[in-house]
Amino acid sequence: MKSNFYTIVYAAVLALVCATALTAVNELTKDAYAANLAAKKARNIMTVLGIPFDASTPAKEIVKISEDKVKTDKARSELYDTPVYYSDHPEYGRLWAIEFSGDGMWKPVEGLLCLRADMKTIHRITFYKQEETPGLGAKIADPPFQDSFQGKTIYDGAGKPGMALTPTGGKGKAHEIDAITGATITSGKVKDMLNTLIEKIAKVQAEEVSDVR
Amino acid sequence: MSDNSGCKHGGFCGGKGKETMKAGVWGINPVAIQVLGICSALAVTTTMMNSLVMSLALTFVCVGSNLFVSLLRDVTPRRIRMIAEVAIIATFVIIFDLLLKAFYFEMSEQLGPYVGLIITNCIVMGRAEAFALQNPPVVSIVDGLANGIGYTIVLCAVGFFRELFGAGQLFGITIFETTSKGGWYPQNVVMILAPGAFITLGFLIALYNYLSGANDPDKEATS
Repeated sequence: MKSNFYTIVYAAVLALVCATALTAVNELTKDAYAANLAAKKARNIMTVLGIPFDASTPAKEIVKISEDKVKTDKARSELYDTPVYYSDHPEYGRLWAIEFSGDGMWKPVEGLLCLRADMKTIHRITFYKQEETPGLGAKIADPPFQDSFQGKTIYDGAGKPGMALTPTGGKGKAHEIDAITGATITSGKVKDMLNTLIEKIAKVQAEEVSDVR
Repeated sequence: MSDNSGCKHGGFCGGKGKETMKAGVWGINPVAIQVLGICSALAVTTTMMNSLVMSLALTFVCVGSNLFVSLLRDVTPRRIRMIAEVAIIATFVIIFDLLLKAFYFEMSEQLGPYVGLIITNCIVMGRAEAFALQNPPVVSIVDGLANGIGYTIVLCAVGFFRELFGAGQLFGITIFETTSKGGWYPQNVVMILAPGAFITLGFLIALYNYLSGANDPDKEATS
């Protein structure tokens, strides 16, 4: 049996060696990792804004392309309290991409909502970070669900801001989306986080309109 | 650890490279016989590429941790040996994870938490405890490599059937044109979901037992 002192020294030395090795590898890889993260973000924004790009473009170049084509609206970012990007689409004119986030069923959900120039019509939506139940809530990351938002409005028929995810949604009403079967909680959480953002947008829009008047 | 009882099955504690290799890859295959590391075997085997990278990660960690556990086996105080093993294993796992994030980002996103979870993979800890702690470094490397290869074979086999029948593809290349893309093959979604992994692995283990005649109770290893 080795002495307590030896055990403590051994543990300390081992911990030090492991920590040093990890720090070294982390230092060596952190730039590449940061570039990958930035590229991922750039890809998400460009996808939602409908800017075509080659998926195989290296990380650093994709960030450059995005800096060239996507602008950040600082004033709006402050008003909405979340980053707002825009770019001019050849067909739809100016498109706005607004970051949003909120609690999912298990972990935080993050996404981008892209509105057309009227600030009412949804051009696209993406949930790029989610860890919902695979096969159920995780369907929010699948194209069919995200596509179902296209062309919907963030106001109901009476002009009240807000969307609804209902079991019978997506049949006619412009602000209703077909909720995901078997993922009631995820659907509800998604609705909540979207409506929190939509209320902010609507408030700012209402103030802008009254300013003009 | 049940592995201590494995010595009588032969090839388990024998220091020779060839036997060690054969035992890890086939005789006491970590997944098919010991049924270890099942969590990752089920979770990441939706495609061949995922299976392959995950196998590579496990092999890297297993070889690295076996080497260092073996090198330190005479100076490691017995009382804290498991903590020391976990520290060494965790170091290798995090290094692999960092490399993946820096140089193969898409794969890192797809594998998600499962690379990090190799720390808790019973195969790695099992080999460190059962083999590297009693054997010299070189043969411990062989053991780590052998178990990595054994794991790779099973994972890739599961990945092969799941990707082929689930998505009609192999390594992302279309083999069966699925009906959703206008082909003839109706996609079998169950293969992509977790039950598909259980079914595939079940059949594979049955096939393995048939081939190796593992019905003999004396030969059966417990997990």
